[in-house]
Amino acid sequence: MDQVADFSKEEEIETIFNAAPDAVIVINQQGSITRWNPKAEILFGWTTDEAVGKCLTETIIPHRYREAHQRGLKHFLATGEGPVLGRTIEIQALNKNDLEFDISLSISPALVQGKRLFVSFIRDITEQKKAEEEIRKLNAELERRVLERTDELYKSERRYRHLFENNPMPMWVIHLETFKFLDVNEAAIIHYGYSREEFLGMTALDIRPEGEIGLFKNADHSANIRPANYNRGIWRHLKKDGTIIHVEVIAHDISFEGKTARFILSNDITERKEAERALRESQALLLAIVDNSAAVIYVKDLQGRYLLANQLFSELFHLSKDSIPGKTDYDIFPREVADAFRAMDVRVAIADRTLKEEETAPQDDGLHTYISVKSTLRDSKGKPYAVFGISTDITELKEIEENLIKSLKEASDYKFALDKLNEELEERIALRTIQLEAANKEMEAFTYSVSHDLRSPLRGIIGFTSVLEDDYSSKLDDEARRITSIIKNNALKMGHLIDDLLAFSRMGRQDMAKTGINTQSLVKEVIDELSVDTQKSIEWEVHLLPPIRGEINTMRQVWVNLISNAIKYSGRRDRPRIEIGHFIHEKQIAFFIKDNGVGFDNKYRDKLFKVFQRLHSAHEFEGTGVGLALVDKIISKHGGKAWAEAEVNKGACFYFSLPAH
Amino acid sequence: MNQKSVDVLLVEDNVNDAELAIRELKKHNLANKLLHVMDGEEALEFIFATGKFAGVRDILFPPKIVLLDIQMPKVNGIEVLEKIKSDERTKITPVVMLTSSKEDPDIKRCYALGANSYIVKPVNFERFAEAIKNLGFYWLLLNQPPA
Repeated sequence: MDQVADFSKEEEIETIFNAAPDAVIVINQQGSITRWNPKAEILFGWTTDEAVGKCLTETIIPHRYREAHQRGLKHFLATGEGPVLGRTIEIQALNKNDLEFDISLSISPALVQGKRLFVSFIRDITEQKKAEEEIRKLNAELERRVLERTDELYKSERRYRHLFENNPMPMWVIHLETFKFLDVNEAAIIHYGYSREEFLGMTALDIRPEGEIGLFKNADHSANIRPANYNRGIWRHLKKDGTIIHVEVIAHDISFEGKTARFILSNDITERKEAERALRESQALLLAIVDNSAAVIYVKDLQGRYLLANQLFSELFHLSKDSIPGKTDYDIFPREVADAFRAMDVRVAIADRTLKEEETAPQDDGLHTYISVKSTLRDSKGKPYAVFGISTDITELKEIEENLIKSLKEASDYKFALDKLNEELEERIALRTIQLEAANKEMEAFTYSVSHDLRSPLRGIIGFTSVLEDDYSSKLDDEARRITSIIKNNALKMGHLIDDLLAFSRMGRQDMAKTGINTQSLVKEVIDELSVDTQKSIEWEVHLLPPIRGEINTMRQVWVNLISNAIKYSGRRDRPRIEIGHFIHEKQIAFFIKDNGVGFDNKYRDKLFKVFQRLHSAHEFEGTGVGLALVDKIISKHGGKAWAEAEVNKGACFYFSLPAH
Repeated sequence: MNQKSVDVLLVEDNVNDAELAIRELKKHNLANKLLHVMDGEEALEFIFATGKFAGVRDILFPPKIVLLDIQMPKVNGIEVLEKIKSDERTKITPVVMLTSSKEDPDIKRCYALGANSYIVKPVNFERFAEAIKNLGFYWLLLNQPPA
C-alpha cells in the first residue's frame, strides 16, 4: 500500500469522521472510548479530551443499562454474538448534564490491527420521537371524535325520527319523480284516514280532490327547493272518508334513502278558513246593520279623526263613504257645530264611560236635533283608542214635545173652566142618578102592575072561553066553536107577549151575578129540553164549546131563544140541520147557531134584534118579536155583541160574542 | 054552609079568578066545604071569628087550607098572612099564596112569614086548573094536619 496514499486515506477518513452528521464513538474491547467526533461533543456535552479514555458506562449509558452493557460486551467477546450488533436500535442516552434523551444507535464491531473495536453511530431522535408522539395523540383524538360524532349522528337520527313520527302535524315524504309516498307519520294516518300500508301504495295525487289533480300534476315541482329553503302553499286535500280539507303545506326537498324526495308538512286550516268566512260574514252583517241603521253611527279616534261612518252619515252630509276616514268634524261641519261635537267626544274620552246628550247638526232642511249616545272603544289592552257614537234624529219628537208642552199650557188654561164644568156635570149626574133611580122604581112598580093587571083579565078570557069549550061545547055549533078557539088563542098569545115583555124589562133592571158556565153541557141540556117537543128529527152538529163567565139564567135564556128559533125556522126542511160552534172574533169568544131553514133577507138583519120587529108574519111562524131583542139585551149586558147573517131559503146563522175571561 | 066546617078558605078579590078556581075544585069534588071571601078584612074576621063571624064560628076549627091572593083592596094578602102566622092559635093553618105576577117582589117575604106555598096563577086556563086541582088534592086529601 502506498504511504502517501495511505496517509491521504487516513486524512480522508478523518475528514469524514469529523464531518459526520451523527455522533461517531469508537470503543475498545475494554469498553474505553478511543474516538469521539465533534458531533458527539455537541450531542453529549463532553469534549473529545474529556471523553477519550473513559468508559461508556461512565458517560452516556443510563444507569439502568450499564450492567447489561458490560454483560453484553463480555458475552460478545466470549461468544462473538451480540443481539444489538449490526442493526439500529432506539434507546435512551445521558448527556454530560445527566439528562436522558432518545437516540438511535447502531454498533458495528471491527477488527483493526488485531484489536477489537466497536464503532457506534448515534443520532438524536428526540424531535422525531416528539413528532411521532404528537401524531399518535392526534390519531387517538381523531378516533375519539369520530366515535363521538357517530354517536351524535345516531342520536340525532333518532331524535328526528321521533320528531317526524310523533309530530302532531301530518307529515310525509314523497318521491319527486313518481309522487309516491315514501314515508308518512302517525298524524297523517290519523288525520287522513288511510293506514300506513295504504299510504305507501298511493301517490300524492290520490289525496287531491277530483278537479285539482291536474292542478297538482302541472304544478312546477321541479323548481328546485334547496334544503335550506322551503315552499309554502295552500291546497285542498281529500280525506279517505271523502271530506275535503283546506291545508297549508310546507315542503322541503330532501334526499331520502338515496332518492330525490320532498318532505311535506300539512297543516289543516279548514277551521281557520271557516272561522275566517264566519268572521267575514259577521263583519258584513254588522256593516249591513250599521249601514241600514236609521241612526247616524260613527267612530272617531281620540284626536277626532273619523275612522268609520255609516251610510246615513255619508248621505246626510254629502260625503262619499271613502272620503270620511281621516277627516275631522272641522272638515265637515261649521266651526261652532264641530266645537260642540268635539267637546262631547272629549268629555266621553275623559269620563271613559257612556254618555247620552242632545246634539244639533245642520242638514239640508235646517237644524236637526239628535240624541247621541257615545262611548269609548278599547284596544286589546283595555286602553281607550276611539270614541264611538250613535245619534238618533229626534227632531220630530222634539216638535211633538214642544207642541205637547204648548198644548199642556193651553190645557191648564182650560182646566179651571173644565173643573167648573165638571163640578156642574157631577151635580147634574147626581141629580140625574136620583131621577133615574126614581124612574127605575116607578118602572118596576109599573111592570108589576102591568103584569098583574093585564094577566088577570086575560086569565078571565081564557078561563071562561075554556069553560065554554069544556062545558057548553054541545050547545055551540061549529062556527061558534071555531070562534071560541080563536078568542082563546089570541088571549094566549097576548099572555106570551106580556110574559116576554116583562122578562125583557126585567133584564134591564137585574144585576148580573156572573159565574163560570160550562157552555158545552148547558147547550146539551137546552137541546135535550127543546128536542122533546120537536116532531122532526134534526141533524145536530155541536162542536167543542169553551166555558164562559156569565149569569146562568140569562145565558140559558139566550141559548133557548136561539136554538128554539133555529128549530122553528128549519122545521119545514126535509132534513133540518143545526150546527153550533165557536171562533175568536175581535178578541172575544163568538158562538154561532147555524140552521138550514128559511133564512131571511140579509138587509133586514139589523132589525132582527129590536123589540116587536119580526121578519116573518105570525101566520108563517109563531112568535112575539121579543126573543131576539132579549138575546141582544142579555148579551150586551154581558159586554158582548149579537148579530146575524142569512139568505132567503138558505138558512140563517146567529152569532153572539162574549168577553174571554 | 056550616061556618064551622070550612075546609077551603079562598080569599080572592077577582071574582072571575075565584069562579074559575071554584069551578075547577068542584069538578074534582073538592069545593064542598069552601068559603070565598072578597078581601083581607073579611078573611081575618073569618079566621079570628070577629066582625060578622063573631060567635058564628070557633077559632079553634081552622080551615084545612087558606088560598090567599096577594093583591087585594083594603087589607092585602101579606098582611093577612102575617096575622095568621103570628098568632099562636092560627099559625099552624096552611096558607097558599096566590099571585097574578111572576114579578112579585114579595115571594121571599111570604116564605119568611111562614107561607106554606106560593103559586103564580098561570094565564093559561088548563095550567091554572091543573094548579088549583093539585092544591086541593094535596092540602085536603094528602096533607095530614096536626091533630
